[in-house]
Amino acid sequence: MKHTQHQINSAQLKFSMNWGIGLIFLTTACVVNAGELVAAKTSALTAKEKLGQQLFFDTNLSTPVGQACASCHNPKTFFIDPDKNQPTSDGALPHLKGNRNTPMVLYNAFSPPFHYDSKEGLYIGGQFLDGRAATLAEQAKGPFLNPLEMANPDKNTVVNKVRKASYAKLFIQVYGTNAFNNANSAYNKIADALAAFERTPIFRPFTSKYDYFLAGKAKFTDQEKRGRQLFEDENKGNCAACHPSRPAEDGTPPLFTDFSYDNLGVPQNPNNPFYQLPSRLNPEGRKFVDKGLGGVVHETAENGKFKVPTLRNIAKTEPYMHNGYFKTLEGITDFYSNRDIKPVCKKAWVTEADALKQGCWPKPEVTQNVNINELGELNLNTEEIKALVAFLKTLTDGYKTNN
Amino acid sequence: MNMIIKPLKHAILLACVSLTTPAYALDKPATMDEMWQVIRAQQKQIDELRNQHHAVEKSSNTDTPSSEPVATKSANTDVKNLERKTDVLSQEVEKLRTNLAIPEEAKYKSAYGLGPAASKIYAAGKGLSIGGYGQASYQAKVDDKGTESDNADLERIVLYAGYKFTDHILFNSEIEFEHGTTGEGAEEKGEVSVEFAALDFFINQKANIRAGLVLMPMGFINTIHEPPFYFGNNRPEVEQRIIPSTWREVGVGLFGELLPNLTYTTYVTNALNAKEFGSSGIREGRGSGTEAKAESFGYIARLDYAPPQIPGLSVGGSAYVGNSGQDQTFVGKKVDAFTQLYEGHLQWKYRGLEFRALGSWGSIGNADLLSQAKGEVIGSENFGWYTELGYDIMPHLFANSTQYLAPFFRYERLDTVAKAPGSIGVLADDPHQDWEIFQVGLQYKPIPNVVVKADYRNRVAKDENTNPLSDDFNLGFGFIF
Repeated sequence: MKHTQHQINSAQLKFSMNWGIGLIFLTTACVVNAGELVAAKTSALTAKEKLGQQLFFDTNLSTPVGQACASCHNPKTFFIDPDKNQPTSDGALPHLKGNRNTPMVLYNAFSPPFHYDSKEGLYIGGQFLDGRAATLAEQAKGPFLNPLEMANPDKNTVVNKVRKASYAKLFIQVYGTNAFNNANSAYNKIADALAAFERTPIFRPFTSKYDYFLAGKAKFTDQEKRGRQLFEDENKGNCAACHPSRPAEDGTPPLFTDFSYDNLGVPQNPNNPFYQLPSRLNPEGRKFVDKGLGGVVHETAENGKFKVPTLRNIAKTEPYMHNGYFKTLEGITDFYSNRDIKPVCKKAWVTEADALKQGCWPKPEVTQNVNINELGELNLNTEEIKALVAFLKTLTDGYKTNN
Repeated sequence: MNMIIKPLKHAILLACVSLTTPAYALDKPATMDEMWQVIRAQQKQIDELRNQHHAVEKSSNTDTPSSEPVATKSANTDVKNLERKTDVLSQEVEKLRTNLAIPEEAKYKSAYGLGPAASKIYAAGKGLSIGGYGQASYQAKVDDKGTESDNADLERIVLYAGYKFTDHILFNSEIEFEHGTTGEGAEEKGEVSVEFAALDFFINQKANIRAGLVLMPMGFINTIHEPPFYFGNNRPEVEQRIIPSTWREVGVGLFGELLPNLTYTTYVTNALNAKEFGSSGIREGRGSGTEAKAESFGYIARLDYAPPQIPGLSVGGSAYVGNSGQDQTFVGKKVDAFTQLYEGHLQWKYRGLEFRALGSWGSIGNADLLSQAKGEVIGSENFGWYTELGYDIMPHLFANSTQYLAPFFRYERLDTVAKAPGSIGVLADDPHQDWEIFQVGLQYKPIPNVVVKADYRNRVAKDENTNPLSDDFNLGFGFIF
């Protein structure tokens, strides 16, 4: 079940990808953290991209006001939710919380449009953890109207907020004088501008230690080298099978995802606040099962599968998995290595910390379709797990070289 | 202009004429059917003659007795002659028939640098010639096993099929089945490959043409890899990782004997593909005739000399040059990736003693960009050499034996990243590619076509302390036919 790297078809994207490679060399000297990175790059943006940036950071676009895209996709925390104390994120109404862990926006532009690859026999690409949006623009239309997120009652509300915003002029400049006339098409344009912003080099810095290693500009320690070897070794970690670690044919730096979907057998997270939501929003309560891709394509063979995420910035973007079950890389690596070796925990609803203490792993949230071929019994020893984690830590953007 | 064109025309004409001339006049029947027809016709003739003979006898009984002896005598001779002819033809038919199942004993002699079994077609008369070889082995990883497993492998079963159209044009090919099967799942390790498939046009002893999927004439093993003719179950690593045997490309070129005992081969082929180069060498960059990229060409030439003063000695060398970039981009840049590989070799076979030495050095241009694109270091230089010595002790054990028993020793030293393109990150040297191999073994041939091999290899990488190479014991057999 090796997935091949998928190329992105859009010519525009290809153009900007080359741009991104150049950026490895350009950005690092001045980059301290991702937040400053956004500021540093703004000057290079087109009008549409600038508009997208304004929209992305506008906290006025929720109902009630106060929540922007950037609230849960904060550039200072690698475009994930800065609140790491809960596995999922607050909505505009703070007592309403989503059922899924906020994904990182970085590198998402590389995901090809959602499609079924008949050669591989797999669903590939798309946006959201379950692929329910085919493209970035489709994705951008989601959170505004999600009652657990920005909670606007309808498109018109969002369009009206933009019409009154300080950047409304920019909107007209980009999309023409009649841009606001039709709420539906204006809403699509808002999404279009957001997608354009998310395609800018800001969202693909490629400035990790590993990128410098690949460019011949950073030295790996022996442990990091060993970790990389284990990561790629088919008889060991075999991680690269779904998280390719080599540059693509066209020169795109490794993206550490093949954009396929997989059920890793992740247990239910007892701390997922979604279970506490009123029955109006979660009628099943604790019986709620997240079907992932299966819920989108309505095929039981896809139940429990979620999109393979990039591993870039993995060391800084905890918690992990669709429900935020894992808080540590060590825990996740142990799960990959020992899921099918350790006994199943006797009780359900065991947290990561307790499972590690008890030497067991709880049963999967979705027991069908669990990938038992590529993980679960890797037999990694402590030294190997440490090496793997050391390698994963080299994938954090913003590395500074001495030269 | 005319002065050049005229001789050229003549040469081409001569070449064409010599190529189209049949091997020999068709005075013999070519097929069994034809032969049967001839026999039948002759049988008919015999019967007719017999009848005539009887008729003559009858009439002579009634006629004058004086004429009898002459007529009978001549008829008798005719019949005898025809009967003898029929016998000869019957034998020929029988021979043809058995030849289909059991070919005449072939002379296993290397021709034009190919392996002895692969060379059968050159010694054959017109038509089809079948040959082949095979090898299987058991490999036990005896030390530094790591995650590797002991294994039992039907490494290769190979069929040579050659067809001689005329004395001047022939086709020869090698079809190889590797590792048992190409089935599903655990069985999918097997491969089927055409190792070579080429047409030879014999024009002149000094210049013959070969075109097709050709074996690159480098080193000992690439052109002669039949198991009875090298020591050990595994081919020398230098001739796998530095000279990437079995290396074959689609090309065309000349071969022949320039002077007595001085032979050469030279081809223009599609070039290697640098996208497939890696830390372990250029091996995966071979085109192998499988829709190989041919945006750039490779040039290869080889010379071998066997001085008549020293029987059993041959020395030679070869060179390959070509751009491996193949019009592809490497981290955004188009590069030549100019690739060179040179090799020199010496072999001496004398009274049971077999000695070989081979050294090879190569370089790869733009190795820095190639490494960055691949995500692993690709050496800007690589090298390897080995030497081996074996001695047939059978004559000392059993003076009259025709069998063969030779202990041997081989030492190899190779590094696919002899020079790294940089010193940091992915450009830095990979000590795991720097190898030293000590090998001892025993080679037993009950007959020259069949070999049983046992050997032990101690393989040492430069980073042996942290990332050792496995050592192995190998037991196997091989044969040619």
